[in-house]
Amino acid sequence: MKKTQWGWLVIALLAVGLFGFWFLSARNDQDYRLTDPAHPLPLEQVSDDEVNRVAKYLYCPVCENIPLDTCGTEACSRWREDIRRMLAQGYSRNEIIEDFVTRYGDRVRAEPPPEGLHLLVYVLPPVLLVAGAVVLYRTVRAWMAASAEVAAADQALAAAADEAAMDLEDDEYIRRLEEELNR
Amino acid sequence: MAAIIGQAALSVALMLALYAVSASLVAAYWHKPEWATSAQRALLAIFPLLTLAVGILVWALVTYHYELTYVHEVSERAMPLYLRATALWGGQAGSLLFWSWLMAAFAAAVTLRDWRRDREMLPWVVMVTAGTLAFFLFLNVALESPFKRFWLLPNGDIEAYVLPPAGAQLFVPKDGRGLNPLLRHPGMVAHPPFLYLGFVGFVIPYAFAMAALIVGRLDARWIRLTRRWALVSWLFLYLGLILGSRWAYDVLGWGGYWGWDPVEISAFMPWLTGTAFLHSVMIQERRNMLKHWNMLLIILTYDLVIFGTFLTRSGVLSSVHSFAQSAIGPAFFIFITLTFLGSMALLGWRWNDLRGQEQIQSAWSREALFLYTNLVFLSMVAVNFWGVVYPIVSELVTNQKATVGPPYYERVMGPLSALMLFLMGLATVAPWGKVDTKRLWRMAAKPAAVGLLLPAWAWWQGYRKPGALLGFALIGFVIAVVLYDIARGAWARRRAHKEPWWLAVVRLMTRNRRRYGGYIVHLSIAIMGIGIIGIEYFQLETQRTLAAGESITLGDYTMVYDSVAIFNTNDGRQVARATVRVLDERGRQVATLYPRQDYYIRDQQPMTIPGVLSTWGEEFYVLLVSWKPITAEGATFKVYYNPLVKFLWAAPWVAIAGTLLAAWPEGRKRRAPARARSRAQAPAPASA
Repeated sequence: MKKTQWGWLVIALLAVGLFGFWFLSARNDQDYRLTDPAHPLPLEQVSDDEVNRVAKYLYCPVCENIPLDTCGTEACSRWREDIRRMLAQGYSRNEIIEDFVTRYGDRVRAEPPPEGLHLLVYVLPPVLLVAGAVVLYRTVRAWMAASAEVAAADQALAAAADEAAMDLEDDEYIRRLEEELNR
Repeated sequence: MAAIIGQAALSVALMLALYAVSASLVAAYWHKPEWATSAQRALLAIFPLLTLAVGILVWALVTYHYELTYVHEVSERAMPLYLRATALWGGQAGSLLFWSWLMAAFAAAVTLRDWRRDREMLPWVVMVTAGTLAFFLFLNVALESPFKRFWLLPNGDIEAYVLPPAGAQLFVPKDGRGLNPLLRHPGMVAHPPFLYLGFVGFVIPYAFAMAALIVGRLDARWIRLTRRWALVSWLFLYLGLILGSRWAYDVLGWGGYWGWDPVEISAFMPWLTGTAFLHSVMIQERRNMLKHWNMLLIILTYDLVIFGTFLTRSGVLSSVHSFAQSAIGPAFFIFITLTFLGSMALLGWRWNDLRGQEQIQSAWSREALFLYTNLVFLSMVAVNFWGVVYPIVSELVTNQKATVGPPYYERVMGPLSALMLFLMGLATVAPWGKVDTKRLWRMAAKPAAVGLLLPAWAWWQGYRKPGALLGFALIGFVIAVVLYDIARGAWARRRAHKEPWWLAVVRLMTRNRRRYGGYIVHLSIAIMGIGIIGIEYFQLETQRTLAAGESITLGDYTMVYDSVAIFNTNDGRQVARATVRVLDERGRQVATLYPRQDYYIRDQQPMTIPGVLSTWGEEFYVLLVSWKPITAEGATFKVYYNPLVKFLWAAPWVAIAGTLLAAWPEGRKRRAPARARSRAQAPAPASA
């Protein structure tokens, strides 16, 4: 009985861990801004790397499934210039992303926001995993029980064989190997 | 005229496929073996017919027959011969034809095998393969013919028809529109055939599985008969995926090899279920269990194969791959639904007969560990499937498209891959049957300790992120387990047979090809893992605008911008090519790179071709992002430093070696007595 409870405990921990991990890692990195909105920077002081750092989190509104920082089209380079301008004016990273979302819709985000129907994107994978683990756990237990019944009959025999095998690990290995080689 | 012959060949092939389906039904239902032979011959005859159709299309592509709409769409005079010929799979209609042709070749090979021992399965195998073929031929004949031609109608319109409309004249454009520039790359020449071979190959095990279900021959016979088909298809799929990655790396200009694009994933999913299948069938052969599960896996693989072709070809998801859009979507959807429900119904019908000896003696035995890996594989598939399908669901429900991008997949696949590596190592150590857990841990401890050399090396080399080190430790474990196993086996042979060590290794491996072939494939996956960790965790990138003579330093290298040359080529490109010198840490020049942008003037499409300095340790990858005329300030470069990525490109070669070892036909006369002995003991996996 005790063994059963341990198994379920492990599965419960797995479930909690997965959900925690999923939600924590779904949160965006720390927000930041390059400058105070009161003191805008000259455009050329915002480097391409700073622009790409924001663009990485955005998906090109025209060419689907391509992150904005790598897209080569003319339109996308204009959008990157928008980002540069906004960074120089003191917008924070998240404000820029929000601005793109209001202009072009949720699909410019690399992932949909965790709300409403979109929650399914976050909830379903861990639910499936945990459900799978539960099914598997029950199956393995049932099959082990089936095997134990059979084994109980010739337990004495097995024990003796086992003891002999314990003597030398290497010999057991070689025996197993030879057995496989002879198949 | 040739176009009409091509279309006729396709139509006759479709009729033959439909005939083969009906004749095999007759053969099976009324027990008429002569009908089965007839169906078999019909299936066999499809291959030459499709070869004729493919030949005609390739001939038309090569010899500039632009009156054919397909030829007009995917080729042009300026394209080199090899691209014109391989434009066969550069568009929708042609790639469907190519799919059918490969399928017909595989079907022909199957019908030619020796059927004496498996007579009762023959009609059903023929039916399933012919049915699949009929579906694809139907698409080709009715919806997407590659043999449509342009016709000038009396009212002055130009339209595409297979047969000439009344009073119409053939219209021959002077030149074609040309292949999508992104596809003009050697990687794209090889990627689709490999992928399709992998796709098509898995149809054969599926056909045998369905035949086994229908006739009730529920032992492991169907598995033994199709083991090699599955292995070789698996390899092709793997190579197809890697070739696709390589193409993306060389052509798409984003410094990466995998973007979690829906179409990539759609080819990845059958590979996952196929891998699970290859492992799981071993348990059925050994322990006579998991019969339901193996059926389910092959059904899933088959329908994911069709789903993959569907996603690539239907344009239901817009992605970088949706070069073609058409009305074949609904047809695919219906076919997938019907075959899936039909197969599942068969499985349900035979459910009770499929019960084997479902027993596990120990939670850490090899069969139990295989079960756990099955869960991990299936979880990967479920997560990937959900990520691909969710944007469609979202669009249906909320009318808004959503993007499910790399963060989603990385979050899930990272931990699952780690778990997979752990199980992969442990399952190689674990014995079948009864396991003393303590002894198992002791047996795993030594290779695990040796495996720590890999993270130690990584630490020494400066790769020090915790996630990466964990990954390296797991990969080191997998590698050490395999090498340890080979070394111990060779040592035992050496002692027992007094052989020199190299002969012992060779004999060990060739005497049990399946086992050691599999282990070598494990090595390939581990090597690939090193490359993936390198690029995922330690890729560096930067972007700057340089004037001539200025430089960027990234990783161990410094690039100096010299000049940019802009010129037009005679195949319609405007090329901007930069000359960049690369210096190592000590300031010595190690390479000159020519990153460039090709602007395809007519397609208005830019292509960014990187300049890459490749060494065993890393790749220094330079992209020309934009440039100004020579008088102005210079050019903008994006530079990536991709450590260890070479391992990713090396991995497939190891997999080829391993799969060949595992699938190579064994000699027939050798070791007859030993085999007879082991047959008597247990159902051994005989080589079919």
